[in-house]
Amino acid sequence: MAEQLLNKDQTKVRPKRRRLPANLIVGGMIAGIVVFLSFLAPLLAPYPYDQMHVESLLQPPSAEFWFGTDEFGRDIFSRVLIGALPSLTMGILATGLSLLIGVPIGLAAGYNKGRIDEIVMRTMDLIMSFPPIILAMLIFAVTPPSIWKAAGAIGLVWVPVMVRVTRSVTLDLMQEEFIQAARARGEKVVYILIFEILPNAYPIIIVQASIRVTLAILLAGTLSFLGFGGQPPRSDWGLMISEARPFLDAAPWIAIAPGLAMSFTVIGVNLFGDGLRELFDPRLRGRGRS
Amino acid sequence: MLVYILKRIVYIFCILAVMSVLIFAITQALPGNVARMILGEFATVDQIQAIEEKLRLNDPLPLQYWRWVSALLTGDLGDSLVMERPVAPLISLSLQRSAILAFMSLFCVASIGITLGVIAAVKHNRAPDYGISFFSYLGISVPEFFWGILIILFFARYLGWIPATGYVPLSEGFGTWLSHLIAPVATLTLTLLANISRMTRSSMLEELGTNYVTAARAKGLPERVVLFRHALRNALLPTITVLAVGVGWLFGGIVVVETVFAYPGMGRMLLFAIEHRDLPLIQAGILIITAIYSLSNLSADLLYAYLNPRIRYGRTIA
Amino acid sequence: MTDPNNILEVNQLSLAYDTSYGSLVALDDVSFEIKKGECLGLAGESGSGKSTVARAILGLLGPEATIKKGSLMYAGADLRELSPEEQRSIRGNKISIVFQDPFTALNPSLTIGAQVAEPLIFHKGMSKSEALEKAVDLLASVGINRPREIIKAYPHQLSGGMQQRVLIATALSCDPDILILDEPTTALDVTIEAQILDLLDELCRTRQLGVLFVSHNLAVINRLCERVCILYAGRVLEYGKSSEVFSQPRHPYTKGLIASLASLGSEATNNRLTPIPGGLPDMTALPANCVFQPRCPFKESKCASEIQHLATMDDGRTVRCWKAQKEANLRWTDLPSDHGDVPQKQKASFQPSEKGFIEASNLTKTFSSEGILSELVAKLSKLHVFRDLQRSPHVKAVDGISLAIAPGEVIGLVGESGCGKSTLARCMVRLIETTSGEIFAEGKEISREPERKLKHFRQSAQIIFQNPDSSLNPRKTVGQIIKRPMVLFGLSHNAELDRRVSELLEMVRLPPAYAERYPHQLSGGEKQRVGIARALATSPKFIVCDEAISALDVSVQAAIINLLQDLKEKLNLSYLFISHDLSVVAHLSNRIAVMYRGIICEEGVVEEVLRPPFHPYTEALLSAVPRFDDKTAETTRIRLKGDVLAMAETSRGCRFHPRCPRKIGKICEEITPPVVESASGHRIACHLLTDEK
Repeated sequence: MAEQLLNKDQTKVRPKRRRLPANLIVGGMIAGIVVFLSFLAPLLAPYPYDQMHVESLLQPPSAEFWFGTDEFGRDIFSRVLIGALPSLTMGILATGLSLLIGVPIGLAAGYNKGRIDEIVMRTMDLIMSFPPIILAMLIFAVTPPSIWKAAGAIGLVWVPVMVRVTRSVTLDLMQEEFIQAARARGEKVVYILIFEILPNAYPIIIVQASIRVTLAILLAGTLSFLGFGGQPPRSDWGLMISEARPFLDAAPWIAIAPGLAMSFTVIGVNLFGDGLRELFDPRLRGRGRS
Repeated sequence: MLVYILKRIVYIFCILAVMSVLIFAITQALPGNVARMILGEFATVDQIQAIEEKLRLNDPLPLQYWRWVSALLTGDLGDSLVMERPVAPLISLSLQRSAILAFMSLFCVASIGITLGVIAAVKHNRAPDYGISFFSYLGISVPEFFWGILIILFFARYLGWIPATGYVPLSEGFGTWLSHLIAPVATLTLTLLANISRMTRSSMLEELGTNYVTAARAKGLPERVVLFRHALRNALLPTITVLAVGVGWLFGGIVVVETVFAYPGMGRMLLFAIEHRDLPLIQAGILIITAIYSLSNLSADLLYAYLNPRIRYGRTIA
Repeated sequence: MTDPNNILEVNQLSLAYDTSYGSLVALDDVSFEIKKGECLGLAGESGSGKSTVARAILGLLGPEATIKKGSLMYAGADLRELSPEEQRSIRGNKISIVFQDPFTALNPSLTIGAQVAEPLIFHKGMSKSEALEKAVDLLASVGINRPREIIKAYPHQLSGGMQQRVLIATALSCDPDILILDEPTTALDVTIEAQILDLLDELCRTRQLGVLFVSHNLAVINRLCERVCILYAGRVLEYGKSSEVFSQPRHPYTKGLIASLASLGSEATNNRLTPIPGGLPDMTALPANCVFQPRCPFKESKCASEIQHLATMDDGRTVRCWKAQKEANLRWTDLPSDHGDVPQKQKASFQPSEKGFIEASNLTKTFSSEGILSELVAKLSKLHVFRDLQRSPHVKAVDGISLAIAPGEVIGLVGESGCGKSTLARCMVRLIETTSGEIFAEGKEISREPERKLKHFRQSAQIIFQNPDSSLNPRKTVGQIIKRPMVLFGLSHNAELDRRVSELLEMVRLPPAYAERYPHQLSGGEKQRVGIARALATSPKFIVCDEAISALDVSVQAAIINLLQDLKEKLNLSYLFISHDLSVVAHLSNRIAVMYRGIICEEGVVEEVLRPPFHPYTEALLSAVPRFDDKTAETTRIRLKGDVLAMAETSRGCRFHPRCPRKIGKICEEITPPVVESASGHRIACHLLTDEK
């Protein structure tokens, strides 16, 4: 009720000051720290990530080796630091790719209801009929694994999601009268899409993208855990955990350190995404994802 | 309604047909020399010729595809190259084991997830809501393979309550069988739970804000009737769709969980096939997984349509 | 209780909402009482707090609302002091409510029967089968045919009017003492509104109910209620017998409201409405003491400096204005006109020139269903549950319509929702493609021209939309919005652009500084003015006004109507003015076209079409409009059966025959009535015409 009273004609007054959502700040800080560390990793790491300390294998965390050492005597802390960059790269690369392909297709499909829309959506249905990891596995079944290919595969899996989100916002916006007004004065399609629709659609796309970054980091981790990502001796969180499995009894820290690092990163980006969502539209708070 | 069901079924079959072409194309047609892919870089010309002969890879592609599909339709999934046995019984056995995992986790996810979602929505912005949100965060932020390892470390190694890995058939006793399932099912549930509870929470909140819920309150109905009869019924509709999408993620999860817990199911078999370039096994495995996924989407659609009177009864009568 | 006849007494109710904008006083010192068997009207514009009152009585306020003081006396007890459980047992049982929008007030997944029976089960302890049996009787008593079938139906299978009847039946199920109607007809078409009002009128008379009728529509309140309470910004400004309040309003606000209404019958005599200046107040920063004083032309310094109390007048009504008694007879229209620059003149009888500026000939638009699987996609792509799932296969929204609009002419297009009036208008400005037929603009056929050849047409034909919140891009400033058409058509450049923007803003009577604002910083009326400025930016000759004033509050509407009228005269524009509000259309138009299910059934000069109406559909529309002035119309009222959407498609004969109150016989069912045109250009399609000869 209060909303109703306010919404109409009350808009001359702005709220005193728009407070940034707490999770945006916390999430932003976490993500910021991770990005910062990932770029400075080569400088910050106490040892080269592949340097083997043969005299100290499977050492527990100590002052010398903060997170302990692995079965080759490599410093876990250094390896975790170095592993941050590929993780983040995967997340951002995959999402960027899906945005690059998905958003234009979604805009076009939403604008041209009819044949184009039908063809696009059927194609997307097809891609979505593969469970996410399975499509990536299919690609790695026939070609040798690599980190770039993993990012590409995840990006491809995300394309239908981006298309759908963009399309549905576009469809909604097409009903708006300012779009009708633009069409009534004969604006070109490209102008309408870029200057009328996109500025109103981007909050939802950005929020979706932030969700996709976290899922891409997780999926990339899973792929490298399964052996389809970076190859040894590279330092990659998923791979590190996979390699640590035989030593769970003797040296659980080998698995725990990269696992915590990954969870920390994902929590940060998730919080950041939720914060963005609240910032753009307080009513969206707590909406599910899929 | 009947037309709707038929349409959906025909559509799913179209998807599956296209899918089979796609899978065949990616595995057999795209990368050039299939024989070299199977045998590796250092195969001799003789070896390549032998395998090309064996798999009749020199026939035209459409013919190869036709042979594969027609055999598929009669239930013949081909022979595994590595194990030199028919694929069908291999897959059927591991599929059964994976299905146990899948159904148990899906059941846990749906029942616990929906309950938590409803609690969070009803106690909106109070302690239980915050608590549930917090655990949702953990659930979606920690990768499932790490959950698996944490569970092994804590419950199997530290507390010693459950066996860490492996699979025991039901014939060796219900207790042992179940104890081997707890860890993988818990891992799968943890990662999917958050999506369902968040979705239920938000659609429940949306429902609680609708006019018909206000109207139900204005009728003076008891709060539990308002919540369950008026709100939850409608709130579950979108949850069904999310659950179907969750099945897709579950397949990924199963591959990981079976690896972590050394559980001999479909996921491990697929990984094995990929590692050993066992082409017939890969093709059959992936096709079956996508078929199951499509069918689960179909059943979600049908359930959705059934529960939604707008689809069930279309026409205006007065 | 002071009066034993009072069943509900609201005493000095004050209520505040806690919002992110700070505390908002939604109600301040609101008092009224409802007597047994009486209908009390609660009138107000948006933000007046009228719905808040209704919810406060039911105890349905959210947690963000706090009642600061006052009491709600019902049956000897203060409703506020009851426990939640006691409140619940009264809700829906002793006091029940019907909400505004029937489409959303029924649960889509429960049958009608279940929803009507619910209160009986929970309040009267009936078994499910008993309650359903009673539900059948209830549905029959609110005029629903085949109630046994309907109780098994789901809400989406019923039309809006039927849904509202179901809700009324639900509200009456436990024989309440008090029935609250919160804008019960606002979401309905005028013909359906008339049916529902008849029903309510009958219910009020036959049952000894106390009714609280909440509405923004004064004419509807006048038709139904004995007494009325006028709310403005959460304060009661005037409270008394409706007949007295509406015929001789005492508070300046009431005077202004009534003066600003376009009324049927005034179209030929009075050319201009007298609007209330300004817009609705900001609820978070209300003016001191008299809340209306910033908009009040009778204002004196005392209005702002002294607290205004409700004072009882000699005729028993109460008014919150210290000048009310003294200047009781001062009329709103005695004041100088709002814009002295426009001369008051009589509406000249319009002589259309030979050639229409824009002309549709035999225009048809068919909507076909989309791809087979589109519904699935719609479902998966968004989790909004009930959207896009229902589409009928082929709908002829516009079926062979010919319509010409001359330069400087205003054609009013009226009809129920779904009759195709919007589609016709959008076809005429090429916003949607036509299926067949021709459109001529200045004599040139344009309906099949490719977009690149339409530049001239696009510039000369514009459209103004209904919803001010949706018609402006929220990410652009007012200046950018108005500039864009000029840039697109290369009409002005650089510095001149800014000058033109100020000029256009001035034309729609907004200060030039508004160019820097974003749409969310404007009020509804202001947004609509910007929409008009944008349409004017290309110096068009023809503008479609698609329900352009329907979303605005009454006190703001009049000013926009005047603005449209002034602009038309100044710039020699033609309008195609679409509205469901017949009085506004009659006020503004030279000619009227009445549309029913894709065809125009009557078209002609306003006076000829309306006075007296000839086509039975026009007659029905006209008699459905609740009005102040013409009490005689009520006795000769004719009513339409059913609902346009619920009627089966008629393949033969006159489309209107299933609902026609003046049907002749077989001929109406079998032969499509020919269009007969009189010498004055009055076109009618009805068999009555030939029958009379």
